[in-house]
Amino acid sequence: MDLPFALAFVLLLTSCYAIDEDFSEELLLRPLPDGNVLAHFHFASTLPPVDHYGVHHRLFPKAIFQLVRKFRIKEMELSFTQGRWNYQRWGVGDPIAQLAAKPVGVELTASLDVPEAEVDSTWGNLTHALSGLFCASINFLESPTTFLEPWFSWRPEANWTGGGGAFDAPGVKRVVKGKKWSKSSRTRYGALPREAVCTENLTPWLKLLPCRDKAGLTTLLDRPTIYSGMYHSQRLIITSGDFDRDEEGTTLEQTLTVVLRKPAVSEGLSSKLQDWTLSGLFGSKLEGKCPLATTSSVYLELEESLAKHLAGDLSKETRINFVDNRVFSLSSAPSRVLASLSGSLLLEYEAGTHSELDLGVTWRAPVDWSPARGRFYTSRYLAGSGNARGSIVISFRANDGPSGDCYSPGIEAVEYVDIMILQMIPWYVRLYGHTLQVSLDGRNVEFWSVVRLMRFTPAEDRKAPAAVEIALRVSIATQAVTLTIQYDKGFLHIDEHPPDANRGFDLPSAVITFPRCRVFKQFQSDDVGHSHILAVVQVVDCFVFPSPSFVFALLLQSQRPMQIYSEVSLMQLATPDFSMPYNVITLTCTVLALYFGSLLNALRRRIGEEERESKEGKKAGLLSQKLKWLRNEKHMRVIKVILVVIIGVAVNHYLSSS
Amino acid sequence: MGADGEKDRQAPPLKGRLLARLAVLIVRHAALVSFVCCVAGIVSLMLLPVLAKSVYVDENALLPGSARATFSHYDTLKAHDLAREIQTLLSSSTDPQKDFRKWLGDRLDALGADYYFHRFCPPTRSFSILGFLSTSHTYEAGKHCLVDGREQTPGVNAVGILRAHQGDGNEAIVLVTPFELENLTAENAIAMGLSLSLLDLLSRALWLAKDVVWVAADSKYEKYTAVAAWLKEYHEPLVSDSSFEGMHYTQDGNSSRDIFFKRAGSITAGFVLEFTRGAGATKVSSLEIHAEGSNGQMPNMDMISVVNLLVSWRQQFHLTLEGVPRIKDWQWLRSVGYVFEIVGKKAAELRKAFLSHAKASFTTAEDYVNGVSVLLRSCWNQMLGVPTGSHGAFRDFQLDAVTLEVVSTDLEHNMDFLTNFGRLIEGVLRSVNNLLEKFHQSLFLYIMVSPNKFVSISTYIIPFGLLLSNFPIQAAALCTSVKATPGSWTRAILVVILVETWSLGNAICPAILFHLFSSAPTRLAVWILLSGLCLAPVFCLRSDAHASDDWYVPLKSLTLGLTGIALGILSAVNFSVALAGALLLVPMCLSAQPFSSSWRALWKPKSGVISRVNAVLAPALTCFPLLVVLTILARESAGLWSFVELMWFWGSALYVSAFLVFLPCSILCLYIFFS
Repeated sequence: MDLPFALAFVLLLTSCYAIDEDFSEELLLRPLPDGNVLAHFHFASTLPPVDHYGVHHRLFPKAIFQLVRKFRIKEMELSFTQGRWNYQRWGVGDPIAQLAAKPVGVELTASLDVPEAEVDSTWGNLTHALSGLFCASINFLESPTTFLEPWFSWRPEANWTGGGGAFDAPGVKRVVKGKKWSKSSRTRYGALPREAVCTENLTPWLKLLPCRDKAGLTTLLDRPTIYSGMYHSQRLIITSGDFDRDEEGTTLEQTLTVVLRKPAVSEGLSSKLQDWTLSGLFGSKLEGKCPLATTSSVYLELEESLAKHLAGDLSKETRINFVDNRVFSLSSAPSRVLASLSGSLLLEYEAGTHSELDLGVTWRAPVDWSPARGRFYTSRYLAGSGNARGSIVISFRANDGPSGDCYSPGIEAVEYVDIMILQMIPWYVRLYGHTLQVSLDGRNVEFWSVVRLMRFTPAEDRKAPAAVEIALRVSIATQAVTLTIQYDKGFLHIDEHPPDANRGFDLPSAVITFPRCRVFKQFQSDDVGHSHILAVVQVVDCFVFPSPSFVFALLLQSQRPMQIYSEVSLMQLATPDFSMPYNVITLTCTVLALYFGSLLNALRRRIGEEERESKEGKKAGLLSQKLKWLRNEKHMRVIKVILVVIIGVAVNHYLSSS
Repeated sequence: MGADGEKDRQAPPLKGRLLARLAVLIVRHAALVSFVCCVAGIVSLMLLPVLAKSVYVDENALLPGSARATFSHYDTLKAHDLAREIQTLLSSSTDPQKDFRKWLGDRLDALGADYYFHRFCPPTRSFSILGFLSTSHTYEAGKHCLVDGREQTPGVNAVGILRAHQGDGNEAIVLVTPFELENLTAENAIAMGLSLSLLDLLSRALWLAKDVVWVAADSKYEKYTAVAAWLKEYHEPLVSDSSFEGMHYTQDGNSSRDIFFKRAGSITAGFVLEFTRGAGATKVSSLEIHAEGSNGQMPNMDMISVVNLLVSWRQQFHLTLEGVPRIKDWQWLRSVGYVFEIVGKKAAELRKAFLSHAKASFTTAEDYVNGVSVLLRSCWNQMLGVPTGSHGAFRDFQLDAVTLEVVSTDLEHNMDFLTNFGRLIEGVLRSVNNLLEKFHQSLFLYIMVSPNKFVSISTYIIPFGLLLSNFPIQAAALCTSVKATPGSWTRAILVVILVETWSLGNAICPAILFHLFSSAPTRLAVWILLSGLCLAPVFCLRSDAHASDDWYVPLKSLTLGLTGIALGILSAVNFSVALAGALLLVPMCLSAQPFSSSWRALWKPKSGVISRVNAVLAPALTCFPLLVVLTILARESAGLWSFVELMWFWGSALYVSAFLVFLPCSILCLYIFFS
């Protein structure tokens, strides 16, 4: 995953300043092209290494520290997401989109520093602990049918662009054998697409913050507002160097991304951009900072294509009036402006310095800008109808428009695109490996001419999901890539169905990585503000950083491969009629009763004997004498009348009561 | 028969197990039993509208009408504005196709919807024997479509996907508005305007949990084709085909993004909105529901009952179902209705007297006649197997959909009506949106009698069962009553096999002739000639075996047995066809006997009343289908071939049953009659 890239710098930072605990809070706001507003909260707590600092903490949450110690977590990422990240409208190829976009439901990735044999059991225990901590059913990830071990997708060492990767020999068939690759991997990945996210998950998450939601940026988190937005994703990222590199401590990052709906307007058909203020969006102004935080800042980000509208002013190398220009006006002046090399702007506001910050944007001119959509419009869907079979299709279509900061180190002229797909498929979807097909631009091509690396682990019934990892390399001119694989739908036992089986079964998102496409921003402080230039990523030096306030900016600067999550799909299986067992039991019992009744009758009854007995009636016992009494017509008639009356009364009673 | 009855009474008492005794008893009194069955079957058939149950919403999660509809006059005004905008755009534009698409794209984009244009060609009507039951057509669009040998521009559907703000995008509701750009009527424009206005409302709705897909179906080549083409691409995309190349020639001002085929999860339900101008000067606007899909498949009944519930709850519409209008003038039916009304009233009084809680409801004669009219129409539609609208395309993919057709004369000035219709659609969408699971537990096998009454399978299977039971009883009775002469069974089997093979050949014949000859009359003539020639030897197979009077009995009993089995199977495929078949074949098969023997029975002084009646009826009943076929051939020979083509195109069960059940059965009866 992107964690190693992202955190290398954070760790570097902590190694320089790792003498005390530290907490920082930051909020990034970005107007989106469709008029909605993205708010990305970022809280980071760092803890110096245990060896130097001991185990008694001021700020760092104890619960997380204990988790790290107990399960020996090297890296862990947990996300709770509601709604879908709209890649087409909100962007793919920029760092914030990469940080924000997560699949629906819960996703957990963890890298554990335990012996290989214990990884699965430790993972199971970890899911239970997290489940208790966050009031969510993460414990469902304990079952081996719900998680897998990624071979390439999450691993920095499988850096295919560098030497030694499996990408070097074109056209050579490579189905990677399990042992070679999985040897050192102690990473597990699992997702629960069905998990509903709610405030009960947010409260424990807030509890981990030193100021909770009593002071600082978190006071903005009005529950109805953030849960009625269009997208809501809450994440928890833990990195710890305690187990292998002693000088690095533990970092806890908590992020919350919300896309807030643009304010409602009367004429819905034509309006697009809407003015907004912090108080208008969240219902309250920002008052002060969390006293325990070393940094507390608010950023306003303007994307390249939006910042270009101000470009006329930029070229003159004069001060851009951010507060009031021809495109928009801001309610207050930023304390600092950072510009990335690609042209996007980051306006910084210190939360502590303003007694009351109510940041707002008022649009002056109708501007239209498009987000960085990435090279491909990606979608995954299930084709076919009915309950028997179908096929999974992953399709890439070339996008027009800006593709974003996509940087391929080492290669100047990019001639091809690498795509890495990780797809976990539940065992009841029975894949047909031979039907796996790739087509480029509408033509089927020979599979191994495009596929460089493939891992295909078949599912085991009720034990393990199927895992498919495919690395593709296609020419940059390719307009469409489609992968298909056919499947049959399996049958589940009646007790394996969830309570709402007729809703369908969720197929987790495919994780699609573009390893050669590095998403990051390189910032330099604008002339307007301070004069120092932030480090170019490769040559990081401790002393370049003026203060730890750049944790966030650093995060944006860190190189990470572009990653996209596909849609979650719903698959209809042939569900039984759940009232059927009752019917079957009733029917079976009736048939059995009839069978045994007649069988016993046939075995026991002796007609000849009966006839003889009835002739010798006088010798009969008490019972037959009674029966004889019944045979008397007069008595019989009385009994019949009584019976009819009883039945009549019963029927009348039943009908009137029902 | 009277003599038979006397014989029965003198017969020794029955012995053996109860079931066996019962069977023997039934077979012995076969004539009586089948007479009773026939009468009961027809009476219960007549009773169907009376026995109809009220519709109910089976899926609790639908919660129809639980929320206030927000569609207002403001939205209606917007719909009118949009409709006007479309009309002025089309009248002023030099390239209406392109401008309209651009306009629609901008509108949808402003709503925050993903949109794209889907190109398709109408399928070619081909005869292929293997593809008969799997009606799979291709709608691939190249640069041009080849329609009837001429090149034409492909149809272009405009599709907008409104992503639910907080939904996970797993499920979708489809809204279809057919339109025809070449001759856009005022109603059509308003339908488009209303749909867009509704989408605008939905784009702001907080409650939306499922994506809404709006398909503006280009009905240049029939509405059904447009929707079917889109659904086909949605569910069975052609990965490697010319569709990719197709991308390049649609660059009429659209970026390539506009033609990516986008999807929105599995489809839960579909609604087709149609506005048509009502005939005549009546200003009453009404709403008609169409639901029959191909081969008589019906959508889940909740689709209809939700609409009905919302309509009857708000009391704003006149909801109707298509009926056979002429039936309402039939006086005899009305008098039957009166009889049922009187009986119903008495029954209701009795019920009320005994059970104080019971509702005293009965069917009036008016309701009865209307019910019969709707029921017959519904059965007729199911029987033809041709869907009654573009909703039929959904059923082919096991999705539930209905068409809501607004029939009005003056939509422009009928604000209230449009607003109410908008509210209704909003309510229905909201209801389906509430659904957590796919439709799975309600009724799929039913026939509507009125918008709020239906006959479920548990009821309508009774008359059919009663009629069908004649076949095995009579076959068994015939088998046991007569001592077979040696060789008669062999001969019967031979004849039956020959006739069945001939029928099968007849059924396949059109597919072969289609490729051999080009003109329809030639094909038809060759077909009839061939089948006639092939049948002649069978009729010449009359041997000298007519020694006894009962020589035909094995043949008849075989015919009865086979027909009974075939009809039973057919009832599972398409009930209406099976019911019609039973009504037609029961009297014919039961009365079949050689002309000579019926002649003799008529004049024999000793023969009973039943035999005489039978003797009179037999020729009429047996020759009836022959006469019908000859009449059709004489009068409708021009349309017959195209009808056959239509049946092939839809893979109608009627065609299969006509050739594999009705035809052999009537030929065998004729064979018996003439020999």
